[in-house]
Amino acid sequence: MFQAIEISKTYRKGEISSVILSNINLEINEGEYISIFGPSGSGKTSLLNIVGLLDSPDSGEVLFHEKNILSLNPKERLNLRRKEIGYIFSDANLIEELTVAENVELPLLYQKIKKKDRQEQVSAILGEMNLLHKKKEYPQNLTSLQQQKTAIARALVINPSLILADEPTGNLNSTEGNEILDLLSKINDNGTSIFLFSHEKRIAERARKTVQLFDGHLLLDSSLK
Amino acid sequence: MEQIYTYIKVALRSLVKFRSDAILNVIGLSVGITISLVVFMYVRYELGYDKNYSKSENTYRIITTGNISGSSFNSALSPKPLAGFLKNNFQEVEVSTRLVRGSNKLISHGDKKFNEAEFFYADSSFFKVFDVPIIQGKPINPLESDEDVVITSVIAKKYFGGEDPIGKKIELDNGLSFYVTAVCEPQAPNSHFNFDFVASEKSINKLYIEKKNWLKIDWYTYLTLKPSVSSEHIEGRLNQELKKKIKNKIQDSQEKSAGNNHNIKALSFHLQPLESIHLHSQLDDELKTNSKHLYVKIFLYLAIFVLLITCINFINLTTARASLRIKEIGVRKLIGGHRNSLMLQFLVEAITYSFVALFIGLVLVELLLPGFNILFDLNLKLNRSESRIDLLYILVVTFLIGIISGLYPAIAFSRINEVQIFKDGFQPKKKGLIIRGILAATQVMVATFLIIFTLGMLWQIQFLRNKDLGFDSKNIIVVERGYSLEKKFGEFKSHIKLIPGVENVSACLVLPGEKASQESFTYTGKDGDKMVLMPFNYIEKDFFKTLGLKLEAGGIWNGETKKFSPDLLINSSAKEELGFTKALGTELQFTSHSKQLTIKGVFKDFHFEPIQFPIRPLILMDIPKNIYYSNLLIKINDADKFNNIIGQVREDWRAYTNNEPFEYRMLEDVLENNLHEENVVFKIIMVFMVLSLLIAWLGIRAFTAFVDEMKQKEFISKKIIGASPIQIFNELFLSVSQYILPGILLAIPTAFSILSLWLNGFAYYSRFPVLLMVAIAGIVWGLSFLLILLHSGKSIRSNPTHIS
Ligand SMILES: Nc1ncnc2c1ncn2[C@@H]1O[C@H](COP(=O)(O)OP(=O)(O)O)[C@@H](O)[C@H]1O
Ligand SMILES: [Mg+2]
Repeated sequence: MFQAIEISKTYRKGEISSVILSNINLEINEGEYISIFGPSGSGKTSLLNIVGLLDSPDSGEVLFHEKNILSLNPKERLNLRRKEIGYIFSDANLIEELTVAENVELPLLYQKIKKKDRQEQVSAILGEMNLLHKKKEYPQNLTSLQQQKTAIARALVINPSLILADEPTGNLNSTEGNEILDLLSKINDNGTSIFLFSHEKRIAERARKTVQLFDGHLLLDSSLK
Repeated sequence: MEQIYTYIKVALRSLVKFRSDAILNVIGLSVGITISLVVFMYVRYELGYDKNYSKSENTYRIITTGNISGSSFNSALSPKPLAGFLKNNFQEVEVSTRLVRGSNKLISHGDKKFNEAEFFYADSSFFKVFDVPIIQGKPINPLESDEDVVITSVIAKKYFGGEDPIGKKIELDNGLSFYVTAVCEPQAPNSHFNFDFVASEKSINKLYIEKKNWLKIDWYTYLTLKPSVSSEHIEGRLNQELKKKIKNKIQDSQEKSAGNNHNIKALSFHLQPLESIHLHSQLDDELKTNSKHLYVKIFLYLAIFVLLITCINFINLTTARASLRIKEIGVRKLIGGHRNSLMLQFLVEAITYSFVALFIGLVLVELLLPGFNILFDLNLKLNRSESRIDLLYILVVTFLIGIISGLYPAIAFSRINEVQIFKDGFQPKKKGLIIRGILAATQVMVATFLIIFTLGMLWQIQFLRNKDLGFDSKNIIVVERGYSLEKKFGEFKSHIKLIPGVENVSACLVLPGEKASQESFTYTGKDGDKMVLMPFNYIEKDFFKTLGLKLEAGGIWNGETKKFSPDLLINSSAKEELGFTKALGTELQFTSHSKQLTIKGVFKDFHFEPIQFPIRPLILMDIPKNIYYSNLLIKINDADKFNNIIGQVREDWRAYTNNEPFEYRMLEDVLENNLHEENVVFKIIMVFMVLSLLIAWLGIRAFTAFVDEMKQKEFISKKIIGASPIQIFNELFLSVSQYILPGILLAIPTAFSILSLWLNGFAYYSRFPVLLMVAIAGIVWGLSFLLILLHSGKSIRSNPTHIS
């Protein structure tokens, strides 16, 4: 379903350039759950940005359903992102002025989906997340866990085919973290593919398959099991 | 010390590196400083009037108030004998002098002939009061004998070139001649009068013997009091001592003229400080049109206001982009920078920018001043003493601007806790949002208001310009000083009429478009004799043809230019005012003499006075034999032949007047000149409009930056979950418009009511259409849209990769 072929990325700052990612090959199929594990600074977030179409690589190809998406114009890319990819970060990044329901509704709003459909989808996902009773609350009045669950709801509401999670438990204690990880497994069980990026081995191991990133290189055959 | 030097270096480096906020800050400050420099120069110039004489402080002008024929008057003039009376009867008076302006005189030296307006007669004490430096000739008592005249160095050059002017003869067209006894420096331009010539007043006796007349109020009297003498005291004593004297004179004169002529009842005199004349004196017969203290005040407040706004914008802009600086502050603090040294850094930075702005401002003033001077009819120069501002003063003010601008950012930034910065990053507090929003809205409102107001003024000025005057002013040449032709007008006219391209020739005393004088007429109405005061004018019989005026009834006298015609013409307003059902044939008399006149025609109203005033009743009549026309009117029908025609008219003029100077204007220019004051006000407001636009730009820029910064994190989140750049921009635009739009809309009613107030001063006006006001508001909003687009932060355009 999703394929990254020979991805390289270099950051330039004045005269100094540093290679962040070199010749990365990565593939994920429908229903797969892959974690990318590597220490801080190894390039995980940079890779996520590329895989998530937030950034472009210097070289290489990114295929989505066999189609090269790097040749898409920004608008087509945006549309693809809107419909197919859900993002989860360590910070929930909720909008303070909006209620939980409104936060979750936002991606649908950007897709210009009809109000009735939006409300149905939002209620459904909040129900799944066990957040319906917090629907009208503002993010500040939620616990960190609830906030992160809202963020996951927001990522799932568009019914994406791929979820990208960057250190999704980074701001949580281990009990809360486990709950999020359980949630991710459940989402995967429902058929959504997931890339999980983490620097913690314990967390990375929760995925069905793990690859290791080190200084921008993907270690071949790096299955932890 | 070294620290401060480093801070200055860093601040300047930001400028050189074109850091956009630093540059915008400096632009903002330079605009503010430029305006205030010009205003301060103007204020200094205005406040410096008549302060250049050694005894200016103790010098007073004597003004007269009283009552003539029932109406009171306040005149800058006083009776001729007063100066002598003061010197002889008051010990406290150190010196007194009197002067009078000669009527517009043609002055010649050999073949050099010029019209001179600033020719004065004064007594021999003149230079003791107005002690301008004498550069050449007799420094002491230069106006001693009858034929003495003192000229300014400018006049010396004009008439005598490089020759020594002392002892040279100048001749006046009234038959008097004078010998130059001294050359003096011209008075400072900020004086309530500026003489070119001062001649001995004794010479006037050669023209006509003038008796000591306390009831003729036609001289300017000045006196210098000895130090520490109170002017009120002198004023009181003067009026007391003169009371009886004047009363007797009044009785005398009333007996003589049998109560007919000017009836003066009670005169009183007041001492007016010389230095206060320019800003506080609005009397009849002023030597120059004076200004008002109010204007100086308004401009001063405006300058202070502009400076404050400038400082606020600086603060606004600096703190809006806080995140740009916050990392730097955090690091400096972390490695041990003390709070005080951080404050110092921001202060030094602001002060450095102020001084860079001052430098730019001074260059701008030097560049723009000639334009300002022409635009506003001023005479300001950076390096001239009348308008120069002390360098120290400028430096102190600039320093203060720097402190005011830098203090708030310094305190706000240095207070930030470094732990907070590194933990959460920095999010500007929303607390400032409302204040900043209101500030931006106010600036945009002022700018919108000024745009509407300027265009509204232009609309009215255009309306007046295009208004149907009731006569045809096109292609009419006005030859001035028509009286030079004396009795030869008829001959001259028939000669001029033969020039190809000349359609009609006529003449009048008062030019259409100039304020008419009034006369008192008596007539017999239904209920006995009545007296009315009415504007009137002497015209020549072809006046109607030449100006294309239309008669409603009756006709105009013809033929016989040699004989005075007793026929009168009145306009329809006069007919109405006099209450005639049938005007033709009614008889009228000048109240002051007994000429019997008969109304022979009624003509349609036309704008014989400046277009700002309503059409009043008007009486037109033939000119009496002892008076000559002032203005000749030549209507041409072929504008291409203009140069040719003017050339021939000039030639004929010279032949008929024995080489009197030939001066002409186009009637249309005279009428346009009536709009001079409106034009000047329009231009001043326009300049302020442009400046307010600049300031509003900075305001929008700062506010946009602030909102953008405040919402940066939110925007990135929204982009990640699928918001397009356009959707993000819309949000930013709406957030900013929330504040700016009410400001823009509020400008409409404000402009409407203030425009109405201004329009009230006109007899005829055209309101600026509200629809256009709304359209302007729309355009301003559109411009704000572009500005917001231009200044929307990177967070809108960039990829949303920088999160958490
Ligand atoms: N925008 C950027 N410009 C320059 N260097 C960057 C940028 N973003 C990340 N880096 C650098 O790239 C490397 C990888 O960073 P990142 O992808 O965030 O790693 P990780 O998420 O694994 O901690 C780091 O050394 C980081 O300093
Ligand atoms: Mg990372």
